[in-house]
Amino acid sequence: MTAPVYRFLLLALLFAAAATPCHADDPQAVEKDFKTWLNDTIVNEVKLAVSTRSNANQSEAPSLGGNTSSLVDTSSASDLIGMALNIAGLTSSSESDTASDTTTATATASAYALYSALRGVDPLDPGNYCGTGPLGAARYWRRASVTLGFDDDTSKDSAIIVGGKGILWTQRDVCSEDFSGVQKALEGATQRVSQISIRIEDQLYDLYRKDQLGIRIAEVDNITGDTATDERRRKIAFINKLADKTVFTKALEALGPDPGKTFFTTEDIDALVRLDAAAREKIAAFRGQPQLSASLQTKQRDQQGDDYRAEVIFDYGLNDRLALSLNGSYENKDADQREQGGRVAAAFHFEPFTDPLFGPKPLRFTLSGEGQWMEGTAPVYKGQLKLNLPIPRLLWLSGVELPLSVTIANRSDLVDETEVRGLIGFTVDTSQLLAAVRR
Amino acid sequence: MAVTAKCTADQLATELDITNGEALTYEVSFKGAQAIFSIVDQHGTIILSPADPPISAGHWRKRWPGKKGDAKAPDDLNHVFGMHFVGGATEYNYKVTRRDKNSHVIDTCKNCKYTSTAPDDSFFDPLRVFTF
Repeated sequence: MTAPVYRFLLLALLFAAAATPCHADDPQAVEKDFKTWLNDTIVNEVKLAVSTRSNANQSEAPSLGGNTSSLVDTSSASDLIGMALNIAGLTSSSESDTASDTTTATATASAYALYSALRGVDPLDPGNYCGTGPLGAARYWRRASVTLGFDDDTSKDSAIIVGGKGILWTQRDVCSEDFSGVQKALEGATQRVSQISIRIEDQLYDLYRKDQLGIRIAEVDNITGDTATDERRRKIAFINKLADKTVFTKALEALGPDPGKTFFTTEDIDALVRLDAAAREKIAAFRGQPQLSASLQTKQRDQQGDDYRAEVIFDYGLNDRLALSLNGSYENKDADQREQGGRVAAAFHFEPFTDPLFGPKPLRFTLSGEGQWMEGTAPVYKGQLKLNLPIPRLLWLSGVELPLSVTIANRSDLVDETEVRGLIGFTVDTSQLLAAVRR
Repeated sequence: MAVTAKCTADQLATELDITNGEALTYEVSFKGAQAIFSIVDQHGTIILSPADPPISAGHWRKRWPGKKGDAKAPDDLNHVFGMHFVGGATEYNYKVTRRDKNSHVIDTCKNCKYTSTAPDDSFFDPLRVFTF
């Protein structure tokens, strides 16, 4: 069996793993305690359907890498540290003089992450994150990032990748966003949840007292006496017992097949939907804000000459599922022969699913195109379809995603035929991983 | 992505002898950019929110009832801690302690950590309070 076949089998397994749901969405499908059931039922009743992930945080290798799955760069980097590995391409061609025989690995760190590490402070501490602590204006530190990596080319001189990126202009600053609308909606929703919770607890206790719940609880029954104090303590003991999964699951059976419908009034749902809508509106507005950045990337080689790219990157959210990235760059390549020129690239990022089925990062399609005009060579045009596949519902893999791409190029500078190549990669956004590890 | 809750104490109900000076101390802290939370009862009374002055960056503490008239006895209240992750928060810590009139801890009702990396996540944690 050839290496590409192994790679395709691996790919198929990864797809199969991603498509397998880890648990059913039915809130009554597994045993739950009262608090978990209440929150799951709220989610199900309201059907939170917001796609909220930032589409501009790039954790993949920059587009200068020989075998990166990024044809187009986006304007942000990870808040803390991002790592990317793109292994040699899935190509059936035996032609070796292509970028697909290169493995590219990079690590990108924000200046904020580096400064936090040097100072030994927690980068997610709110006093640091929004810039009132020892890090000073942390929001500005997060706008700069550096990338280090290498291209390990089996057929040519391997190269070190060095890059820096700075956000020149942005309106996406979570620290200065006004969330008062969401806060107000949360207060209203929390009051409603308080009322729902009382209704359920009181109904269950009433059934228990009438011996219609089908269970007896020693901690409750052992409190004897008829005073108001005894009755209060019995009720407290009963409510606290609802934190027991087995007790609550048994008690829930007495409420019929769809207790959510029984205990959630229209006004309750309205308040929860208002909270959902307020958050969704805020997220969409935030993601739609334009952002402009500049970057400088270089490939440094031992024996051959070096490559340089100076780039301007613009991102803009067209709606809550579709975003546009534009790149314009000056290129200076000296690998085989010295050549200068320019490059223009554009990409549409599309997130088809609004439900968070796939984990902390969204499933994302990217359709992109690139044109490169270098002196002394014919123009090179490339088109790419990429799928960013997140790892679903595995806590310890939060922030990990697999970029899979297929690229079509005219490749008129190398071979007189159209090239199709596939890539798989591996990226980690440590800001999400770190948050998961803290759990 | 659902919110993950880890608790070392997690009562759903408690009694509070306010006539003898008992009180609950609510404490909330968070990690990330902006906290969006509220502790609200069934009547809409806000016990604690980010509008209250923090004791340090990202850390709030409040004693309830704070003054005479904040609570009556007997009463049956449900103090729900609601939180949202849209403001770039990745973690909330929530602690509720029942204290006597000298502020000595009688009981820890709640000691929970909630985490999420999805900004559309919210979560609610109820605590029924029976005053007498």
